[in-house]
Amino acid sequence: MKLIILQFISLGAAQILTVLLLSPFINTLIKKIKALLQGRYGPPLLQGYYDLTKYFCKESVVSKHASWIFITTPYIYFATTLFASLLIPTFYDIASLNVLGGIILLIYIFGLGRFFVAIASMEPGSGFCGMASSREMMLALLIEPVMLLALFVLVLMSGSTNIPSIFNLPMLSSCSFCPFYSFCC
Amino acid sequence: MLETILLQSSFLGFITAAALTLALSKVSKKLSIYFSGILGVISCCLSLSSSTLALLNHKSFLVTYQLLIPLVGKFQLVIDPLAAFFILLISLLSIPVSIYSIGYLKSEYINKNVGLLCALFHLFILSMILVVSTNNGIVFLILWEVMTLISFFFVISDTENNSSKHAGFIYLLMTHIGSAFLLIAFLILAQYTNDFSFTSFTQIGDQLPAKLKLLLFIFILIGFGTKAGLIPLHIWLPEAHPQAPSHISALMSGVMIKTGLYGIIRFIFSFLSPFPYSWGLILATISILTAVTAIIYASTENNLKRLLAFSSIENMGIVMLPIGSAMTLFSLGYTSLAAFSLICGLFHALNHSLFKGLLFMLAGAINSACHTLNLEKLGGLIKLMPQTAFFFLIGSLAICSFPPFNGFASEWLIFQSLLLSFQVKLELVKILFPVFAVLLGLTGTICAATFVKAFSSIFLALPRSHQVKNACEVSLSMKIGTGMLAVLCLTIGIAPSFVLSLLSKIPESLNISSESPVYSFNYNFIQLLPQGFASFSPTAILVLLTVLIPIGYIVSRILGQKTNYRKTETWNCGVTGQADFEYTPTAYSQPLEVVFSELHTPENFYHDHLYIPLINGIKNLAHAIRPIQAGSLQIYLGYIFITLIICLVWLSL
Repeated sequence: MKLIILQFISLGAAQILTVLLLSPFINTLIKKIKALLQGRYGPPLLQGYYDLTKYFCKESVVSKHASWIFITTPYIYFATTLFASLLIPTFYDIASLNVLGGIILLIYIFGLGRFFVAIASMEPGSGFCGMASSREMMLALLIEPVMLLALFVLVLMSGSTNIPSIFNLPMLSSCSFCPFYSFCC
Repeated sequence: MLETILLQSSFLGFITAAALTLALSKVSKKLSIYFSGILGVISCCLSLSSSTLALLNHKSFLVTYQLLIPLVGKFQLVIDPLAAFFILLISLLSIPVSIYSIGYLKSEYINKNVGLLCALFHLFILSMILVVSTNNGIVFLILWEVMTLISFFFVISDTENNSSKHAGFIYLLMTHIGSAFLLIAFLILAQYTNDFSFTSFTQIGDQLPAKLKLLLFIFILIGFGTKAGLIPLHIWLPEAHPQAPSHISALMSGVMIKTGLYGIIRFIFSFLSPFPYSWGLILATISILTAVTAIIYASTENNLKRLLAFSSIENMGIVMLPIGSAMTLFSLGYTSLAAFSLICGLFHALNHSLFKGLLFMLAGAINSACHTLNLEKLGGLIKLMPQTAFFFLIGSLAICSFPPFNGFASEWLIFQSLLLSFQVKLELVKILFPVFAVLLGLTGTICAATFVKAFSSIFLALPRSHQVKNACEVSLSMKIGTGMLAVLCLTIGIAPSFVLSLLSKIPESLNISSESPVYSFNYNFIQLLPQGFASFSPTAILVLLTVLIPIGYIVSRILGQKTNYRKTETWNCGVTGQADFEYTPTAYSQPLEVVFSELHTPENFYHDHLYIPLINGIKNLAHAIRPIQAGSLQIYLGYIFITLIICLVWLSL
């Protein structure tokens, strides 16, 4: 039992670390490819890390109308993203984590993060933030049904809402990241 | 035996409370309010423990009174697991509502007829408990009317307001149309049994001709659907709920509309089965359409209580959806799946009553602090009413079904119950159920947008009007009442297994046998079968979230600036007058209105296209038969003569 927990924690930590360290690179890579397709040069491949360094050196400024929600939202949003990264097999397929709730949990965890970002952006009381928040929710509700439909097709084909079983679908083995393209939206 | 005593003493408690508060209010209004709250809590605790015991023991019990009612005989109550669940639902919500009512009535209604309000409050709870536990058609209809009338009195309680009279009128009219259909349904059933008792109605479905059964189904759908707020019979709900005092709105929205659900389940599964599977598809389609359209209305609404009322309609749709799928699966022979669907529906009904009760009570708190419920005028209350804001946030998260709250637990189960349809051999079901699931997901996202708008325009940024600036936190009893519900939302969210174990025997009592159940659970883990289809561990979700949230903080502390953040004014293009620059709730939902402009028909759509033609039809009919009523004595005598002759001819044939 102890061993399982230890293994779980170490694997989880490794997964989180991989995602944390690689995601700025992948983000830039997507931007780079997009730029190349549009005939531009695009940013250098390490731009994500440069940006992060710059942001970490900056001072944080908070509107004086904001409350604790504004302060805690970044941590909650960050946590939901980490949570999702634990559920999706990237570095290692942590099968034991599928007891948590499978694909539906994944969707609602993203929803939870989005909810907090949307209310936090209403905090400063500026017109621009409100507009952004409104559009964020708007886009989410346009995307979500499409994403759900795509995912439910896979669920019905694999006969399971557990994420690894969806991955192991024979038709997806050639391009096992297929279902998660929809998350890019 | 213990259950019977507990339930009987709770009845006694409600009646004593009603009489005592009415008498005490002549002496001291405050005393009467306190007595009402305390006696309410005690009586509800009694009925709650009685129903919990009944559910844990998985057996029905009888309560018989030596009271003779004409046509009925002895007044008898039968509390089977289904009735016990609804008693649990009613009493569980009524406890916090009773506590809340102390502070709420003191701050809002002290100058009005408090004694009557309190007495009616107890009678209202009592009538709802009796409605779900009675065993006789006539008594059921009488109690159904009593329940409707008491809530009608609450709707028109605001006597200075003309709109409350209008709302009351629509409410009374709609519910009476519903009652009329129910009456006909009961009379048709009684024709076949010569008796009004539910025991004789049970399993009468075999004897009824198919066409008559279909007619009965439609009548029941209209009768109970009106109470449950299924579109297009919902029009009374957004009118009536905002007019009632908030603690009553909580009960009406949280519990009373669920009696419609009770009626549909009781009628269809106990009385009318077997039935064709298409009935289930009809109910499921109506439910999901109700859910989607109602939440679109809610998202563009700017009055908080109306918004919540529309969201109640939406949630009733979500509750009815698994009931519809259970009907389909039951008549196709997948009884274990049907049992699971039914349990999901009932579970969501319980959860909805908790978070909707919470939100309505908070709306009352906001109204008593700011004297407005218009989202356009509120704002910035998180600093003035921090606890209320926190509870509202929990309520919003629960209603948008985000983990780890109770809404997520039941919605997860509903999703799974729909997706499990891949086992069904019928193509139509295989196609429709995943589509229902997707629409359910759409409902969830619109709900999130709605409650982001509601929460942020009430509590965040700056107050939009003067009356809001002077708001202060509500009294302790109101905070305890709402706080209890917030805690319940979280507890059920992280430990749904307990509720499931209470619910697990209900399908069996309705003759939906589940020999090979499709789910298994222990204290913190729910698993769906076939093995590995899905599993759910809400406690682990909470633990993982609480572990992960500090990680972001730690990372930002290690890598980021060591100084604290700087507070400053929001940049507004260099203009002062911050509150005027805030994004308004109307603007917030405007994109939604544009996207769903085809669906977002104005509310009087139903009025113009359904009710007005109906009313005109009746008027024309009345016009057409007016010549018969000429007003002259000779003609009337002639009618009697003709009738006599027809009767004689009829008899001689």
